[in-house]
Amino acid sequence: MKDEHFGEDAVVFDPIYKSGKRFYIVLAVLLAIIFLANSMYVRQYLLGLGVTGLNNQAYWGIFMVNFVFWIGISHAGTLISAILRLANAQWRRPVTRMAEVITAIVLMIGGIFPAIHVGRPDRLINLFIYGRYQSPFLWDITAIMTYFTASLTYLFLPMIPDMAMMRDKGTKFKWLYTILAWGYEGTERQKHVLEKAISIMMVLVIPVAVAVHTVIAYLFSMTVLPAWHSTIFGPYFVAGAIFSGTAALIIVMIALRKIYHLESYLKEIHFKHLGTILLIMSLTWAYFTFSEYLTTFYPHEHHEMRVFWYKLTGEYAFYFWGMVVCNLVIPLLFLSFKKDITGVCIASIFVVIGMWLERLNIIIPSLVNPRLPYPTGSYMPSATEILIFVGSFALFCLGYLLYARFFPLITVWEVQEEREHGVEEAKKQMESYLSHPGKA
Amino acid sequence: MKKEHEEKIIFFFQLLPLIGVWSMTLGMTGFVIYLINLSLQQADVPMAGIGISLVVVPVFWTIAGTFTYLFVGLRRGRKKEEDR
Repeated sequence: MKDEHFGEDAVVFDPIYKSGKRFYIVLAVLLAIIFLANSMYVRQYLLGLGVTGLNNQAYWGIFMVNFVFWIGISHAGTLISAILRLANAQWRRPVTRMAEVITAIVLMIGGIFPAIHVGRPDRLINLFIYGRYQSPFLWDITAIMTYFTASLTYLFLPMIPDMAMMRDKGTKFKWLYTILAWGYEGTERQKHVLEKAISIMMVLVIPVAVAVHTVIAYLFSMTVLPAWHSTIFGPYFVAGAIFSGTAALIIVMIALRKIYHLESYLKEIHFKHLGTILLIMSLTWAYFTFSEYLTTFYPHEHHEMRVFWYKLTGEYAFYFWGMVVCNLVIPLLFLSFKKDITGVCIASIFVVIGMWLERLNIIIPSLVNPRLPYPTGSYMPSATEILIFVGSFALFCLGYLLYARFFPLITVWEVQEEREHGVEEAKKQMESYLSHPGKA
Repeated sequence: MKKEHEEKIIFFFQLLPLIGVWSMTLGMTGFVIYLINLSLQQADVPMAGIGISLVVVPVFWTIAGTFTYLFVGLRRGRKKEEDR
């Protein structure tokens, strides 16, 4: 159905202008889960970290697993979007906004976890007053703040023309869209300025995103704990982050496609392309994992081997082999033989689970098998930790739900531009590749 | 008169994201400088702080610069009153 202002793209704006009862029901459920998780946190704050499964040896638990996991997911957005834009991948247009929103939301969620993890969050201020940059923890804070600012900017810039479109429609929340449109009227000069700004941010955001996850890897590799002190951790974490990020993006896209009827935008071809990226990342992840474990095994250093066997045949064998099945076997099977939307969706769900298990496998086994002459420790998360973990997923869904309530999930102006000039541009591009003997 | 007043309010709110980005930029720059200074005062090692400042400060200033360029560029590129 065509709309006077949005033309054939009216369906993208439906969640904003036509929200029904379903929105409020989902909102209530999510708020209830978040309230429950928050109550558990308040209880933890009042009673201390004794209510968690953390102990003298396992002083990092699933709070830190979640921290690394969510920050990894954040690579879904800005990095993938920037790479696709930079590579001028024409199919990227309906995908980029969804990816960028994921980054903005999960960076906030991931950033909360270290604060939840410390027993006295009120003392975090000391980090700023008496901080020492020798601590990788402070590197992390700096890197995440930089990435968050860059990602928000990168999300905001391509939203401007869409905000102007909604301002001009002049109904709901006109004041909000007038403010966010920044006076955009679509003149040639404005288009030029906007494109230039997006190009600068696109180039800037890629090294920032890579740096963030490298710095998170340094949090582990700068220590001498067995199986953490590894030079490969930086690129290993970056590859893992892109891997889990792509999987999360695919799941979000499939869910939103179904909920908001975006089938005419998010087509099977988009999932095929993303499925290919996922398959490549699965193999890259497997390569890094193999390298990491082989270089641990070959020198046979006593403490390293203790962690090695603890993961492969000991208490964590189920999680380790579960991770291998989720991250390599299932994606390989589905993405090689069944690369339709269902296949890509199943592979992505397993990858997200597998990458969470990977973070768990990195953090806990090294802590419970330290270099010090202690017997092997143990860690079992408490209900408090599990509920806060569930709450973080609800917070993610809430963030997305609220975003979709106020802003379009697809970069409409880019899609319109593609519709007008896409075929012509693709033809020109194709012609420039064609070989004509005798012509340069 | 009322329209002018409304425009002023909108302009103020449009400035807020720009103020936010500049606050972050100046805040981070100040924070890094403060920590380097602190490490020098305490005869600690300032190299880590200096190394990080070499990356963080230019990134923040580029973001703030791009944001300002866009804000000014969009205002200057608006249609003239007679073309509206």
